[in-house]
Amino acid sequence: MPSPSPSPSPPGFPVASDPAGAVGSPGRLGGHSSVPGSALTDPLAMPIAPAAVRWPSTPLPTPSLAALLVPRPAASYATVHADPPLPAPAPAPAAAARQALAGPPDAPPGSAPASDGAAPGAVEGQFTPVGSVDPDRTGRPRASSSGRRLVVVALGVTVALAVVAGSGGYAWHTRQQSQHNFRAARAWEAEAEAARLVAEQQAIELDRLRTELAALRVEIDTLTADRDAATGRADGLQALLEDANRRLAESEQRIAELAGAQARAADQAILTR
Amino acid sequence: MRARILAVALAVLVAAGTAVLAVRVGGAEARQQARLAEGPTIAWQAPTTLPAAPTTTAAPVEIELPAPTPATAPFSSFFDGTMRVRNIQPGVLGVGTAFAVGDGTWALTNRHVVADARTLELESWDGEPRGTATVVAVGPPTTDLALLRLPSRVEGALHLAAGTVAVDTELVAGGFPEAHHFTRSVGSLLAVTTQDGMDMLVTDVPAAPGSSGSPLLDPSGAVVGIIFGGSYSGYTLAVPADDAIDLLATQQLTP
Repeated sequence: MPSPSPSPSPPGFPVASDPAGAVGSPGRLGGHSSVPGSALTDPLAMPIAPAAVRWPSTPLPTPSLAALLVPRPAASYATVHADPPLPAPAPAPAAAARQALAGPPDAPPGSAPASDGAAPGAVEGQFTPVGSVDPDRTGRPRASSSGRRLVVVALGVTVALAVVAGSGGYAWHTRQQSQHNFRAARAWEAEAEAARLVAEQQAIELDRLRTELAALRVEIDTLTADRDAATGRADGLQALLEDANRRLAESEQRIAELAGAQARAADQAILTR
Repeated sequence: MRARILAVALAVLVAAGTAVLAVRVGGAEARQQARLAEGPTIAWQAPTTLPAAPTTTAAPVEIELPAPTPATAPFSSFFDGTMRVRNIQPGVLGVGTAFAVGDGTWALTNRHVVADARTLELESWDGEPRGTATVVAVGPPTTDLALLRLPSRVEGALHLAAGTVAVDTELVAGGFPEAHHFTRSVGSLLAVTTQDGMDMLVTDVPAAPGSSGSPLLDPSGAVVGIIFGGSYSGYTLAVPADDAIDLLATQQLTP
């Protein structure tokens, strides 16, 4: 979110440059401190109306989520110089007015303005709050709410990216799994079809064998019935034969007896002739 | 501070969602792999091997008919060719037995049955007259055999068995003991001996006068001897079939 364009400096007030470079310059988050003896805390330095305080239109670097999430002690900002230097901001009206009233100690009039955040007597490298003006006297600099908005925006963007990435990954995975399932289903269908064909052939063979078996069973039943009938007939015939032989023997015995009697009679007749 | 808390909460939420998604995806993949490893589920499949059909081999029907043996069969089975011989002499009548051999026109008996006969009348076992026979040949003095010529062919000619008969063989004789009716008697071979130059079979088959010339049959129905007399101890004596075969051979006859 770009900062609002700074209003032009009031005429006649030179724009002071920031001798510290980046430390405490506008746009830096957390640039608030109350250095004893600082001119910014001097009530005399508060004649500027709050509406006159503007932030430069310096493009803010997109903070990383990790940098946002890692808490840092406030004092560490005073010793960090790794960030690239920002372009010189426009002098704050309050600093310009103060410098106009005091006059440049070294630079001649009309020379390049000095840094806005460099208070007189400030040591380089130390924290020099620049935007810590508290016109509302709430004890919180206005730069903090803007920073939170940036954090929220960054978080939103991050979450959106994560959601988009997650959705995309999920969609990709779903597609991969669908394709995998499709191939597996095709393979299963092929195997099932082959198995079904085999089963059909076996069923046909089974039916044929069952039919043949049924015919064989019918034939066996017929043969068994014939055998039983023949056995029965044979048993009956054998009994009949035995009975006939017995009766025949009895008859023959009787015939022989009669023939013997007849022969004896004949013998007697012969002897008496 | 609230922004940080919100950011941390969102990060935690996103991480948790990612973890849950990873777990679900991992589980789904694992299940998918397991299903692929298992392969398709076939509803049914015909058995590859059929149960063995019951082998029902019909047992052959065995009908045990009674084997006709001379001892049990009716007279007509083995003794149709057996005849009553009536030796008619003036004032004397002798009765003996003869049996048809060969083609049925010949008969064998003992020599003493036909000795001194003027007429030899023949009669079947059942009383049918067979006419008169003539003596064709007789055996040597050591063999009590005579060969008769029949007036007509007779059914039931017997077959002579050559060779030695085993002792204890069951023997069946059919004749007219005591000149009565045809009688079948059963015994066994006791010994084969020679007495006074005569070969003879010693049996315990019951016999009596009138049984002379009766065929002595083995279980197969072959003639193994011809009864000619008895011993004092009650045994029955018979001429071996080999002597009868020799007698037939003199007439160019085959047993």
